[in-house]
Amino acid sequence: MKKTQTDLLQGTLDLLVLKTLQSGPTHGWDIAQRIQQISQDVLRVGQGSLYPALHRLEAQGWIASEWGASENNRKAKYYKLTAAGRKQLSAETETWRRFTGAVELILKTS
Amino acid sequence: MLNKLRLRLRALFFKSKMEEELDEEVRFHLEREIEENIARGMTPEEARYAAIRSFGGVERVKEESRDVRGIRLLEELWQDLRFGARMLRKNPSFTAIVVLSMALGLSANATIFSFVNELFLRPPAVEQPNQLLEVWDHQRQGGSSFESHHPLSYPEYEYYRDHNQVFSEMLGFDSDPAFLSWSRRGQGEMVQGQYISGNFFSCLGIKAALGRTFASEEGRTPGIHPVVVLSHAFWQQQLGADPNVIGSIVTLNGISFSVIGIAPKDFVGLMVGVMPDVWIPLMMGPQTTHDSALLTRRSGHWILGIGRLKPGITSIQASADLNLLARQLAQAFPKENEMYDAAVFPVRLLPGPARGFVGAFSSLLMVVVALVLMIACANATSYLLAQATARRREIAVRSALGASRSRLFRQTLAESVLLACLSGGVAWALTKCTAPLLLLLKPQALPLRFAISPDYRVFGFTLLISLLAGLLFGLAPAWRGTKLDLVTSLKYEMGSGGIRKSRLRSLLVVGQVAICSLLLVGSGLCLRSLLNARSVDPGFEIENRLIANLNVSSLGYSEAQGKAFYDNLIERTKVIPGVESVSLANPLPLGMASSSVTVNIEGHRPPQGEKGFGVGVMRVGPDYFKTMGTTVLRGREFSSHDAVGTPQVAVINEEMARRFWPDRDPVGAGLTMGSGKEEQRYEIVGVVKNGKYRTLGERPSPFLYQSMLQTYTPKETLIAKISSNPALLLTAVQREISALDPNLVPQLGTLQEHLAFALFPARITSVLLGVFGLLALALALAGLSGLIAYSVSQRTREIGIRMALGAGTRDVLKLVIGEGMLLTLIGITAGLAAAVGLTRFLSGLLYGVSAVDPVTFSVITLLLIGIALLACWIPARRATKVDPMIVLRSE
Repeated sequence: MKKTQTDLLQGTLDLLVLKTLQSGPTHGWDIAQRIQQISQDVLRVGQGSLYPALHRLEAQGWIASEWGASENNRKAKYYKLTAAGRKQLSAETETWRRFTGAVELILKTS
Repeated sequence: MLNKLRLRLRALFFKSKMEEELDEEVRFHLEREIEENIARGMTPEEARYAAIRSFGGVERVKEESRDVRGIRLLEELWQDLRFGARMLRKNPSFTAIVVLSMALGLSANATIFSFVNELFLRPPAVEQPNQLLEVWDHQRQGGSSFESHHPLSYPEYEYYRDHNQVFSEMLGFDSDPAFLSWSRRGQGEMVQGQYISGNFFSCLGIKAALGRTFASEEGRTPGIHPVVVLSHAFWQQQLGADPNVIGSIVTLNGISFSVIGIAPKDFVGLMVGVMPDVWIPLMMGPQTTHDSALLTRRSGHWILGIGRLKPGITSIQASADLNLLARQLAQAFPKENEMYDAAVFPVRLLPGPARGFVGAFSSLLMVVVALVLMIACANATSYLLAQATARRREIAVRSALGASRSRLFRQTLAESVLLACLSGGVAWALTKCTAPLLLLLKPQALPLRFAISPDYRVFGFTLLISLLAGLLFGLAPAWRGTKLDLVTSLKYEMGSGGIRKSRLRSLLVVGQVAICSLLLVGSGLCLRSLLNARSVDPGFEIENRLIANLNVSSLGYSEAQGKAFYDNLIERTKVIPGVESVSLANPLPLGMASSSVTVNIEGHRPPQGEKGFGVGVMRVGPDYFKTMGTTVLRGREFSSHDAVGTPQVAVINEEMARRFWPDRDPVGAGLTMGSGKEEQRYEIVGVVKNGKYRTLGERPSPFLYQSMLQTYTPKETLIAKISSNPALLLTAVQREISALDPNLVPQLGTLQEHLAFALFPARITSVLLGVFGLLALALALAGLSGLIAYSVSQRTREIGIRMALGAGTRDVLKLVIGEGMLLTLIGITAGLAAAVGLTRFLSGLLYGVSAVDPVTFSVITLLLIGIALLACWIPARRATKVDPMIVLRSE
């Protein structure tokens, strides 16, 4: 029971990270901020899971990283979407839509 | 995929750099968060605190990120190995026993593998050996692969070389070692030579270590280029590595050759068993062998052809092309070539046609040593299982502290793999010593030169089987050891119940005893077969006979000179004190060579499609049967009067008499040999007892003797019946030969040594199976004894209680030994059942003993029971020493 829940959350986080990176390369802190802002504070990304997720996505080859200067001119690690990541993003988006649609249908009936 | 690999490698090798980057990334995040918090109006202190709190444990996040990089596994592996090494050091006697028993098992495998490697896997040390193909004549109706393939005749080789479309070059060389007399300071010394085509070295891509190899014109015109290339070993050992050797003269078979080069050190020839001292151009062959037709005769098959494939040509295409040429040859020379196809084999040190037979024998050995290794593995498993039980509490504590089962499993497995690698190391060192020992099994009389040196392939094999063995013997203990019920294990628990509690170990012992009895039955059968073969009557007496193989052709004797030489030699040898009788023969029975002849007998029609009856034949001198101790049943043996100019005579054996003259005395009857103009009539003058001619196992077959004085060959074997000390007489015979011709090099020995060749297959199998059988026995007993000792130690308390309740020493002995013997008996039964099914694969090697010989089976059974009793009795004795008071108080 517990396991499926974590999987779900993890999958969701991956999708959100990929989606955020679609608009261009950025660093970890900024990704967390943006998810929070765009979702109007509904979704809060625990940093505890953000960094492992970033490293996992990198290990899977969906995102790539390089060191760059941040907006206030400090050294920061920038992540960007790879070609494989773009494909993964559209696949996961599709899955998510189908999933929420299905859940929505069920909720409507009862 | 590549990206992942790059990341992992980076994680492994630039670990500190990766750590720094992770630190920096986290620090950057925290700083941004603090800035933001300050901007929201917190004090720097509050801001910092809040940031860290929201991040949720810096170290945990780092740890999780590390996990993702996949480096954790490797780090843990390293930890596991270090921990394993500590555990092994803590328990040195346990480690030593397992390592020793595994090393013996592994080394047996590596030793046999080094033999296989030498024969089948190692390509010769030449340029691109995979492009090379051996070319053989293949007789369409020729029986086994070994019998149906023949080397090429020289004219065939030339035809293939000049007309094929598939080879960029084709070389040829003498497929048998050629023995030449090297006259060194006036004395003859035997050297091994190899006749080769002029392109031999250039086609193989071999450059001389010193000087040069043959130029192409030296391989084209017969008789005008007396040049040789020497082997590196010969140059070093016989010529003292003389740096000025190039241009010097060596005299071989009376002909002066100038040395033009030294072959590189690692090149010892293209065939196993033949390591030439000198390479001589084929074009000089007619001179050194004094055989003018050597290079033109189409019926002599002695050249092994090897072609280098043109780029893009496959061996199938090559075979097709060569077969086209074979058919052209068959049309042009139907008498010599009608029966032959061409066959090709990739080049290995073992000639292609022999690979099937030797391969079957090697596979048998590989199976045997694999079984031995399994026994050793079972021992290791058994010890590890005992360990695992002893370490239950430790494992339970670690598990309670949060170690996952997979982690514990991996850790236990790492320990066994470490153990296996350690054993592999010892085995490798051992193999370096045992592999050359295999050569001791080769009979001295076999003129083969051989080297077995374990190379990187053997090393790789040893490493691989060590790792596999480690996984094999480690899996069950790791599985068992990590599967536990925490609560019961953590509570103070004392073992009880003995053998029933270690069902897996009992099963292992049963398996060990079973395999061991299977191997022992196998070696017992071979041993009996060897003893039988030794006691078989070969039709002549073996003891107190000297032999000297001589060949005067190499010294250029004419027929008259040769006859005179042999006459003189016989006269001189006869008068040596201690020599009772002397004769000549060619070829000696039960050697490598044998010949047969087609005869026709009045009143007997040959089988369909044949021109006559094939019978074995040899040429013998006067007094041969007397010298050999063969009984003449009827008529007489040859005398000095049966020479050229008198009617041709023959002596036949009992079997031939029985088959063709069943109801009358054959003495005085006639038979014919050859056909057409060459037909010759022989009168039978005697009948002798049957003997063995080719192998000791053969059935009685018809055999015919011709008088040596009526035909001449330059090659003879001198046989002397002696009354005393063979060693002393050998030098006396040698002295007489040298006195007649100092350049003639005889191969001297006893008839017993000559017979070693016939006994070779039986001997090598029984020696190897015997050694491995004993090894298996020792390992299985160690396993059995270990299990009983362990069971006793686990049951100390139970035994104490029994004794306190009145059980005597006998009862305890019965209890403990009974357990062990039950396992032994089950094992033996299983092993014998398997043996009944499997030993028939040995029947081809067995002589005079059935594959299910009841004597062998019962002796092995009794032997095993006896030894197993002893193995159980030692730990059982210890059990009786248990003092009930001490045991009961200690609880």
